[in-house]
Amino acid sequence: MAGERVFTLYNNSMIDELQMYAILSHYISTGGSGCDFGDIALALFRYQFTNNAHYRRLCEAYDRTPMNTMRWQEIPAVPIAAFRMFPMSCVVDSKIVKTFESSGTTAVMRGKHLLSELALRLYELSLAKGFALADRRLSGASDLWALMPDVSVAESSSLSHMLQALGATRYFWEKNHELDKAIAKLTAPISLFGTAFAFVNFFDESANLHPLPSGSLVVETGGFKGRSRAIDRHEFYRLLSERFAVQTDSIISEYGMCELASQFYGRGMRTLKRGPFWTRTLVVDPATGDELPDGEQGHLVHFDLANLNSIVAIQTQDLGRKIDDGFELLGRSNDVPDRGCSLMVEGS
Amino acid sequence: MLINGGGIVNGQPSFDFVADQLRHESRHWCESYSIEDTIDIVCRWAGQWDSKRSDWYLALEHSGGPFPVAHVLISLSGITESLTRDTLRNLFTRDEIYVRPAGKVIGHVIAANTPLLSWVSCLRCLLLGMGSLIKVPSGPSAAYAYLFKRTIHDVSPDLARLIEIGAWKGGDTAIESKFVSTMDKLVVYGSDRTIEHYRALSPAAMLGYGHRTSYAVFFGDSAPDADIDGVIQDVVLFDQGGCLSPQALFVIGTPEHADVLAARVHARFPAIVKRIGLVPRTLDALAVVREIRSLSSMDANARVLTLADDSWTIILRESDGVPPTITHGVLFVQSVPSLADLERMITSRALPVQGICFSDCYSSESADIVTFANHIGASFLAAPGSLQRPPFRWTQDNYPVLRALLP
Repeated sequence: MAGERVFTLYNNSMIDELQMYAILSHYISTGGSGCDFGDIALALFRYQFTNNAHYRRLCEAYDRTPMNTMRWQEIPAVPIAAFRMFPMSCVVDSKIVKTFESSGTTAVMRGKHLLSELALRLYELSLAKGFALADRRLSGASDLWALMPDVSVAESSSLSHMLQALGATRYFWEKNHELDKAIAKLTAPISLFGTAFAFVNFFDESANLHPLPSGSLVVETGGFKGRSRAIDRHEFYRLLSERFAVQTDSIISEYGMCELASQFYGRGMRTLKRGPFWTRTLVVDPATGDELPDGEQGHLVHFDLANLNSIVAIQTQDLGRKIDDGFELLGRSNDVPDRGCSLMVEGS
Repeated sequence: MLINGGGIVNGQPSFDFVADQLRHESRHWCESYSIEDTIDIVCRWAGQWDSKRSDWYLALEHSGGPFPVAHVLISLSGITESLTRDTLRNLFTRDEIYVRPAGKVIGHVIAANTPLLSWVSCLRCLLLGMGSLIKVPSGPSAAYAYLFKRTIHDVSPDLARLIEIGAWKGGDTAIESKFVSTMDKLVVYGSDRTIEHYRALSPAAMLGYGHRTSYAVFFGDSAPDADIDGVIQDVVLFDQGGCLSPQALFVIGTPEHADVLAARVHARFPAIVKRIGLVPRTLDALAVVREIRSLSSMDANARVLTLADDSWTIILRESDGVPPTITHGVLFVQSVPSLADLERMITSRALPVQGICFSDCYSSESADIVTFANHIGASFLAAPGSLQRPPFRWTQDNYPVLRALLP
């Protein structure tokens, strides 16, 4: 039924946001049964191509339109930087109810993910479903604590919004001493979310051990971004494991970005990350954008069907390689090598 | 760790050893050779390049350096043509140097973005009879420093003894602190980050040549083809990676003027690329070009023109701001109503400007052009095709050529 509907919509250039939302939410809610990822991705591409003039121009520059794009892998990906430069939205400004901003040192440098009410609903459905699918232990009844600001402090942070939507019960942003005391009183397992720099700052402020009750999980969302000393991954995981008295297998890494409505998760020391069934990741040649064979290193392009009114295909500068049904994250590309007395600056 | 003429003691670098040796050679040189003698040798060296000394050309071709020989020779011609006895005597007079600082040694930290930084930096020290320890960049660009020493040696083995070349991994604070502490002065070419790194090591004295950008300016769309070819050459040299590489071509006039000029640049680009060759690009650089093309194609106020072989991209852009400085394969063409507007645009960005090349440089608007260049802080004003071949007497930020090196 849903598959037929998608097929019909695929050939219908007049598809609107509500219809697209209906298809996508059905697909995500029902576990993808009865529909093909590629068909839905192509329908979403047609909708976004039709309704976003900036994206349409990019597609036309690469000679890609819904008429000549037959595989989801051929959908043109938008560089993340486009979210800093253009309103990447298929709806009029008056329909935007939420704006997530990427981190950055100035407002000019921040990417903006604009969401309509339906896009926000799909976003929340995606993050809840994705969280539950990532690790069955995460969907247990344990309390969720966050070592990051709540939405009242960080209104435009997609991470803070995600924690609120997942029902975080306590926030310890810049309250390391409180966290120290709260952990000491714990009797039941928790899931403790935090950015890498928040964890390192916490450890740097207190040399104590902070053993979490058995069954607890630590979820790290990466990113030092110059806000703490940066340490390598092995050392970071050793610290997390030692200080919180958890096995490394109980440390979960979350990989997401404000431009994506879905998240990818990995477990333990393995660098493999997987996304939910409504996402796909390609590894592409940074110079040509062509898909690389499995195992070869290139830039990651994420396809996220929960990106309703922005863009389904996002080109990152993250380096990775395809492994099994996921990808290995290898770091960020040095997009601007040192060039003596030349300069890479942001455009105005 | 490698220092060409020795300097490894028990497997460890000994900067003291090298510095002492260079100080000794510097004293010996200043006692044995006058300023006039030195000028004479340097001019002979330049003359041998100008006479196309075949074994040097062959050595350059086989040096393993990353830049096509044509790129190096175009830039080198600017230096050698300006190394005349009168010019060099005038430099000493202008800088009021009558006694050389015998027994001093300068450390040069060389960037890899252009081939001749070490040559110019070291030649200045040689004129002053000072020793030079050149830290070459990692990678094939190091070859140019070795070639320089070899050619100086061919002209004067004694003078070549004032040069040592070192290679070690940058960022090793223990090694670099030792290096810095044994030099009487440092001359650092590189990114702002590199300069800060060395400044933090508290050198006795330091000259830092950091980030700069350059532009080309045309009036209207009727510039002669030779000027367009000249600008393209300036852009293509060193793959746009030098501080004198134009990052944008501003057209004083209307968007229609810019449109016509962009089309002319696009049409004439392949011939210049064919004549002087391309510098191989890293994957990262190619990725940046692809991204900027994608982003520009999304902009309703931009038009992307690529060469048939995909090697260069010209982006015609309408904006009231300065375009981004991308380097390695992208030239922006943009109209600006007047020179005053361009001055406002550039100065509002507080972006350090190095060079400006003007079409119609010697027209009645010359005075305006000089005023404009001064206002935006440009230290080199040139005609198209000459921006990348500055004369020996030119220095970034208008430092006194020789005096700036005195400890």
